Amino acid sequence: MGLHAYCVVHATSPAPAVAGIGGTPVIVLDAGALALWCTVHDAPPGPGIGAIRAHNAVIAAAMDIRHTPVPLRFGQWFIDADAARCLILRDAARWNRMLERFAGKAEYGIRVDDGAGAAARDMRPARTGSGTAYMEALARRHGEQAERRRLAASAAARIGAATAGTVSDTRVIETPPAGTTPRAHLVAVAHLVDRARERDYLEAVGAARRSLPELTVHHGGPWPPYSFVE
Amino acid sequence: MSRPERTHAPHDELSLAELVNRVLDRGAVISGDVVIGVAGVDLVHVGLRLLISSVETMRQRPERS
Repeated sequence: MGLHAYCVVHATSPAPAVAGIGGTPVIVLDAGALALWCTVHDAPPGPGIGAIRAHNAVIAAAMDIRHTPVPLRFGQWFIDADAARCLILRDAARWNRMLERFAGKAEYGIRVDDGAGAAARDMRPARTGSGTAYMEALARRHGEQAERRRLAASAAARIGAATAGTVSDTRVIETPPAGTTPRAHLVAVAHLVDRARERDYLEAVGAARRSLPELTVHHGGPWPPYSFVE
Repeated sequence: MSRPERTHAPHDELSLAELVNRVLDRGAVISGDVVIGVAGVDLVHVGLRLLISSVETMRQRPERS
């Protein structure tokens, strides 16, 4: 038996109204002024889609009652309550600092794609054919990558300009090299937004979208602040 | 005040892959070591660390090392 952990909240936060992975009830483990939401299992839950959705749902439940938690990455397993409590208390200052920073805020995300197929295209030059053909393919690849970097910088600048003043914090999500994944995006950013200013922020996102008519802009949120943990 | 442009719910615009990345690859990590003991005698020293990672992180790992 052990504990799968979901998030750290203030001890005063109400208990979640949702079940955890596998429908197991979420228990609130007090650790001083903090609390850890977790579920008890015979073995560490595997990272299946259902478990990942359930993990997120428990953390999102804290958002629903306007108690922004510190979301924990999936896969943290404790042998017993004492082990979990010990580690939370040992780093209490860090958890309190994050809870204070996240209070009243939520994460939103913007992802920009540069057209169907561009991200998925394999830009690696073919290894067959003459040396000249290989070098020409390599040069083309470098040119395409440079153009992609320029486009990404331009898009990021426009998003930054449009949303400036409406976000508390911004994280640029690392972009995988084109051709390495079928979902490579041009640019992706996460915004930490004060929920009292969501209307202003959403208007700013609309402006950012209009300033990038040649690109596909995806927007999502509000989410737990996964991208802003220390 | 002008009316804000409609913003879609996350599942409308961002994919399941985005959720998976978020849950597996971001979020805080409780790190540290725990000594399991019985009756005051230390028996097993366990290093707690993240057990899983997203595919993207695993792909990038060789490049970083």
